[in-house]
Amino acid sequence: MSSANPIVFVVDDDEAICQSLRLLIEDIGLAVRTFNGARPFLDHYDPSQPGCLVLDVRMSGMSGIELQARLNESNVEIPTIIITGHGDIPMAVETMKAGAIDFIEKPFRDQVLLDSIQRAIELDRRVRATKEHARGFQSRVKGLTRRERQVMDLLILGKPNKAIAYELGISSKTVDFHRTNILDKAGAASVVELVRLSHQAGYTREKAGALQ
Amino acid sequence: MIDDLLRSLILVAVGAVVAALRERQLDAERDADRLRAKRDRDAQATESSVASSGSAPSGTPEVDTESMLDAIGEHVIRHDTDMRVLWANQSACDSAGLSREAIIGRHCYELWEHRQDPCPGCPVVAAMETGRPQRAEKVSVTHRTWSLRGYPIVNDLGTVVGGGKVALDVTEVARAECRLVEERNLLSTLIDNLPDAIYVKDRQSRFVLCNSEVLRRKGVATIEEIVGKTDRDFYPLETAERAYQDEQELMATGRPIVNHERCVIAPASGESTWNLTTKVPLRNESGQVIGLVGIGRDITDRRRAEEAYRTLVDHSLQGLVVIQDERVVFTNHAMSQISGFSVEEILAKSPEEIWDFVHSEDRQRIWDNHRARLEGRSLPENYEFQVVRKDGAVRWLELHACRIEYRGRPAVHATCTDVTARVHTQNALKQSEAQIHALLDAIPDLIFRLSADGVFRDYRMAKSQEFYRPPAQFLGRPVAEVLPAPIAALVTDSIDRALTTGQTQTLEYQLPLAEGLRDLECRLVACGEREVIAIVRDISERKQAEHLSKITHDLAVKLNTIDHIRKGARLCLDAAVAASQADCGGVYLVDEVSGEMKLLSHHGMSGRFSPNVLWVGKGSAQMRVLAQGKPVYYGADERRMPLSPAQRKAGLRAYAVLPISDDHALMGVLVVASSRCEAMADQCRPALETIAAEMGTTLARLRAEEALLASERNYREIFNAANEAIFVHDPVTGDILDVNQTGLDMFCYSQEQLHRMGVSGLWAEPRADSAEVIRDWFARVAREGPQVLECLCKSSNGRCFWAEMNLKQARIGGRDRVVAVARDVSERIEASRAAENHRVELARAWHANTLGEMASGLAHEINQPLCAIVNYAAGCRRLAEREPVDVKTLGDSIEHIADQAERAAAIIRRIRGLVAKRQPDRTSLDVHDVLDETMRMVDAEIARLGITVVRDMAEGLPKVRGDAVGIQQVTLNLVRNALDAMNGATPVRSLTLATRPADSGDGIEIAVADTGRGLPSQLTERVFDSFFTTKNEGLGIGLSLSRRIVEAHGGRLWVEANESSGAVFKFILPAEGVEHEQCKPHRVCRR
Repeated sequence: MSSANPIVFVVDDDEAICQSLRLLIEDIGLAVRTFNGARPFLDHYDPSQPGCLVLDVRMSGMSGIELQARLNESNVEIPTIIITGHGDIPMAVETMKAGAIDFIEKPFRDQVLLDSIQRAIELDRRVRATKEHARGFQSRVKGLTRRERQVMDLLILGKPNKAIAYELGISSKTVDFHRTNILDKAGAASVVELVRLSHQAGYTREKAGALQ
Repeated sequence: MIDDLLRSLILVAVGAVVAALRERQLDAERDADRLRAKRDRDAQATESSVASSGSAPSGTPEVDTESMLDAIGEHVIRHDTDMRVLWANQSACDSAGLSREAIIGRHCYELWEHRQDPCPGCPVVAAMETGRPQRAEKVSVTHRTWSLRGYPIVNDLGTVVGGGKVALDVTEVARAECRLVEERNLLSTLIDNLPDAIYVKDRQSRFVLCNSEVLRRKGVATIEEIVGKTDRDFYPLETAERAYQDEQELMATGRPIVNHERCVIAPASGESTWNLTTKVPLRNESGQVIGLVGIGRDITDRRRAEEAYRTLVDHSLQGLVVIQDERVVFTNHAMSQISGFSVEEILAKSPEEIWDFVHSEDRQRIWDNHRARLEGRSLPENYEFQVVRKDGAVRWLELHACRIEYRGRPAVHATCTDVTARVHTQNALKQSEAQIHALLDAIPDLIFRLSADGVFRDYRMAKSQEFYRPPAQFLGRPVAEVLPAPIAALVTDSIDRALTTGQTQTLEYQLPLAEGLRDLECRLVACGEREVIAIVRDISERKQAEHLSKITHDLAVKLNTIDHIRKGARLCLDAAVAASQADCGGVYLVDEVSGEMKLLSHHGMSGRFSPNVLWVGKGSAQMRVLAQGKPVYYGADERRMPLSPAQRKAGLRAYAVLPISDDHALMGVLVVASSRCEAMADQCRPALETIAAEMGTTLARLRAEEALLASERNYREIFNAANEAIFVHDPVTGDILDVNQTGLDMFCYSQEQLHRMGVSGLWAEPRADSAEVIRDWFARVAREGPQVLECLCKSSNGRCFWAEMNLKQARIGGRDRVVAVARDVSERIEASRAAENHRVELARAWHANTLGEMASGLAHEINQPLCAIVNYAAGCRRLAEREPVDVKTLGDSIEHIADQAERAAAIIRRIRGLVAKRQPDRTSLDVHDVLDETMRMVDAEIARLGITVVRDMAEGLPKVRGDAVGIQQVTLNLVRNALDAMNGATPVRSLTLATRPADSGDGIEIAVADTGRGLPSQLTERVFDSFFTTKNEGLGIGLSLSRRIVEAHGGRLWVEANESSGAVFKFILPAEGVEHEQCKPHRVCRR
């Protein structure tokens, strides 16, 4: 049940925390869903739903750190803000390693958390857009001619036009022509972007070869 | 019995005679008939031939007839009318002893009867006169009987022209017939006069014949009255019917009835009589039974006699037995009693079994006697032998046996009497007689018979005895002439006294006999009025023994009081010399250090014997005795006496060396030597050995006493030198009997002061009940063994100190004592007090530490409401800035802020509750809440260490009553330990918390399990000791205090090995409502 509007998920076994956070976050116009434990969250969470996660570390049942591990296992990249009542450095390091974007000790200034939430949602939005673009790149690459694909492979490897022309036995002018077409078809503004896109799409020369 | 036997025999004999007679009669009859028939036949043949020859006087047929007549045995003669022989056949010629030619023409009476005129009654003459054949019998001059037939010979004209004679010698027939008549006569006489009834019956059991006895019995006069009648006519129906049945069966089967005894009513007298009946079938020639012959005997009298006899026999005390054909054929009740077998069992015994009854010792003898008796050899009739009863008991029997005829055959009749008791008595008597004889023979005493005036009358002596004078010199002489005067006077006196008082007089004196001077004892006993018996016994050896015994006894008495070895040795040596009548002697002891033999004491080593007479060297007797431990004696009979030249020179001839030893070791030797070979007589050897043994014992005693003295000295030194104070107490009163120097120094009292003060005077705080307390101590020592106490003591200079007293029972100088070893342990006590204080401090620190930890956990908790408050506050502020103001939300939020502030305050109260010094607060607790709280305090660390927490909580557990903080301290401690145990290179990191109802059913078991290194099994108890830790930075008091807390709750705490790896700490808390005894704090026994 995803919607385009991002939702802030609050997971804390302390009802007071959950409700006070709802008050704060809803005030800046974001949708809030609270869960009083890690497991109810996992049961309801849809990875396609954009948003971020505000997570308490110490909870009865599954702890916040455990939840993080679960999400990582299932390749869910929801930006996570850790809030904790008695944080220490080892715990902070642990959670950051597990991919948390922020570690905030209770109690905290409202603005600190809200800023962090804004950042998280922005991050989420970007990540999702990039992923979308990368998925487009793949289908676009399929529209390339054989020669254009060969040229692209060599471009991704960072070879200059002349080298490519020499390798493929064509003139550098032709390479230039192919490059313009490739960038155009792949929807990349420059060769650098092409390389980034191809990386994001998991595209490599070998894979390209396999495609041929 | 015998009668019975005879009866059978007679019956058989009579039967046989009757049968034989009858047989003979029949034979004779048959012979006669046969002869008669033959004669008739022959006569007819001859007649015809004679007749035919008469009718045909010439021609061949006559020759044929003649030759035929010649062949027959009868005499055939043809006469003319004048009785002249015209022709005679060959047998006739032979009988006349003449040839035919000589016979012809002569008169027959001239030829055969030597007569001048015809024989009277000659059938030939009669035949010629009558013209018909005639027959006659005639006895010839040769006394033979002839059957003569005469025939007239008629010519064709019918005129008698001559006569023919056929003569047959029937002498045998005539004799047989004659005999038959005689025998018949005899038989009938016999049969008629037999006392037995003899009768013949036909197939219908009707009487055919009988003798006069039958008539008598039946009460009839003539045989005619019986013939044709049956038994039914004479006997009662039942008797008759039975007899009839028997007879019919006999005739049907042909089986005779032999010797049937029947009781019948005699028809003649009407009395009941016993009949013995034998009936045999009577057969005709073809073997068919045509009737029977019966012989009946009246055995009533015999039967009565027999019954009387049998009654006697059966009631006889003597066992009777008749043995025939190796079987017992008769026995009686007494025999059955003697043998233990029943009469039937005896009768059923096989030939082998009979002899088993006889004891194996006597079996052959009895068997031989039995055989001999049967063979008729003469033997003693009475003898005794042993038998084995059925029950195995051996009995003596007196046997009277004789040979008898039993049922016609030899048998042995034996009468047995059980004489076991008599034999035993006799044996005992014999034995006792033998013993008396043996005793008499064995008495070594000389016995004299003396008259009142002291004249030797008679004597009796044992073998190998010697007299003071030979018998010839004393018999018939008075004592005064035989014995030396003083002894004779003594004897005469004693004789008088014995006769007047009648009491035995005993006197002792010495007489020089061949063996030397002998001690004699004479006992005089009055025997009648004018005689005494003197029993003289050689008591030299007894005297000698008494002498030796006195020596050894005196020695033993003296040795008892001896306190020096040298004196003891001297006494022993003197005694040995006296006992063995030696000339010299010595005592040698083996030196304990050097092992050499040293002369300790010697006797008689002056003048003739110098000390070197007792040679001690290699090969000497002394060395041998030392090596072997056995006494060595050399006397006159000992030729191989090893003598040194000095000994030889001194003329030693007897020599004894005895070992001196106590139970364990050889200590030396005792030597006595003499120049007289009889000195070391056999009888003094035991005395010498006793003396040596006494010497050994005394030596051992003296040495032991010396050692004891030395040991006493040593003991006193050690006693005084000991570092501890040592008190010796009387175990009953507790009085101080002895105390060592250290004790005196410790308490600064003198020995006397201590004796006076007693134990209680040493105590720093005197008590009213000190006497009881002390008695109680000593009683406990006696009852339970060594005791350790600590006392606060005070010395005379006022110093107070703790003393540790070790009380122990001991035996000192043969008496029971209690030894108390006292040690000043003030320093140790102080140290342990300091340690105790330290431990208390540490415990307090630990409590504070854990409380701090818990408080910090709670402090973190406070962040939750604070955080919420801050959030709400921020939210309120934002709401307030907005237009329009959402009043409701604002109000709600403010309400929330208040709630959260309240919550924070509650947390702070809890923290204060923890930190404040307070008494443990017992409340009703849910164990799971406590565990949750604990886990919350450590979950950051758990997360950091990456430890998996497994919860295995049982549902529906009862609550416990306890101090929440204390229990939480325990669980926190256990969890923290578990985390520490897994903080390393542990492959699996898993913390398990489990709760379940305790096995006992009245509590809850809480388990904290880790997967860490685990605990070695030997440490499972030590980990609960204070200051024991396996951690680098641990204090080692957590577990010990945790255990105390759990025990204070009435529970217990222990550790086990985890199944896979690591350790499981478990504790049980009693459920609420379960009574439990609070663990009492450890009590130190101290006064």
